[in-house]
Amino acid sequence: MSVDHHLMHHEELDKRNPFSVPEGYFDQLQEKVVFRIKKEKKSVFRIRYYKYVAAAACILLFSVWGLLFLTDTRQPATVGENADEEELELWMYDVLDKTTLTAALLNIETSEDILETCCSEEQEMEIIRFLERENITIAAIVHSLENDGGFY
Amino acid sequence: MSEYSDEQLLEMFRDKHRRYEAFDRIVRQYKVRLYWHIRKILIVHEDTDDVLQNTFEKAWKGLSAFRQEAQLFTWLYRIATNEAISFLNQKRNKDMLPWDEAEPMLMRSLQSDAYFSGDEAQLLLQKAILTLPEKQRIVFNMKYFDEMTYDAMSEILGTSVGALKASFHHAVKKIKACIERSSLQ
Repeated sequence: MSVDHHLMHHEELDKRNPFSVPEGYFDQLQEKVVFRIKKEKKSVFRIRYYKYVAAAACILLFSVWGLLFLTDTRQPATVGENADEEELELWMYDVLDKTTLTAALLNIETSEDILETCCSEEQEMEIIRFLERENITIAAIVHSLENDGGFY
Repeated sequence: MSEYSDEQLLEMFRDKHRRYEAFDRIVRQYKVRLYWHIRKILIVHEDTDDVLQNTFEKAWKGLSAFRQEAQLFTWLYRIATNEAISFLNQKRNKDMLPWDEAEPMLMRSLQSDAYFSGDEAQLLLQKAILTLPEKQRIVFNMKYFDEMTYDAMSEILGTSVGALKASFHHAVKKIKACIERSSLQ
C-alpha cells in the first residue's frame, strides 16, 4: 500500500510528530529561560535604583535652586559668582534644612512622581550619569547629610 | 518528576522566597507541550525557540496578575499562540510579504528544515496543512495533534465552539483534497 493511499483511505491521518529538536534542547531551554528572567529582574532592580538616585539628586538640585533664587533672606553674600565647589557645598549645608532634606531622602517612595514633575527624561539621564561618574549613592548623600560631612 | 497542580504552582509562586522555584517548575512542566504547539505554527526550530522564550518571559511578568479565571495551561497556550502569530506577522512585515505568501515561506522552511525527520507521508501531510489559512491551521493542529477539547480551544483562541468545529471540518476536507491532488500528480 502506497503512502498516499494510506493517507487517503484511512480516517486517521498520520499523527506521528515529524519534527525533531537538537539534542539536549529542552534541558538547555530550561536554563536559558531561568537565566533570562533572573537577568530581567536584575535590570529592573537597577532601573529602580537609578530612579531613586535621580530623585534624590532632584530634591537636592531643586532645593538649592529654590534657596538661591527664591529666598532673599537666605542668599548669603559669602557665596559669590566665583565660589568654588567646596565653598558652595559648605554654603549649601549652612542654608539647607538638613532634617527635612534627610527625611525627604529617606522617604522617597514618591520618587517617580517627583521625577515626572520636576525632570525631563534627558535631565534625569544627565543626573544619573553625573552621579554614576562621581560614584555618589543615596546612602552616601544621606550619610553626609546626617553627619555634616561632604558627599565625597 | 511528578506534575504539580495549578494551585500548588501558584501558591508557591506567591511565596516570594519560592518564586523562582515555582517558575522553574512551571517551565519544566509546560515547555515541551508549548514548544510543539509553537513549532507546528512556525515550523522552524530557531523561531520556535525564540518565541517560546518570549512566551515564558511574558508569563513570568504576568503571573502575579493571573487570576485563575482560566487554567494555567490554557493561559500559557494563549500567550504562546499570540506570540507565534505576532512573530509570523512581524516576519511578513519585515520581508514585505503579501499575506498569501506566508505559507509558501513556511513551506520552503519545512523543506529545508534540518530538524524535520518525518517520512514522505508526513511531509505530504505537513505540506497539506500549510495550505490552510493560518487560523484553520492552528485549529487543525490543536485538535488533531494535541487532541485538545473544543472547550479548551475556545478559551485559548477566543472563538466559539461552533466556529471551531466548522473550521476543523473544513480543514480536514481541504487536507484530504490536497493529498488527493498530490497523489494524482
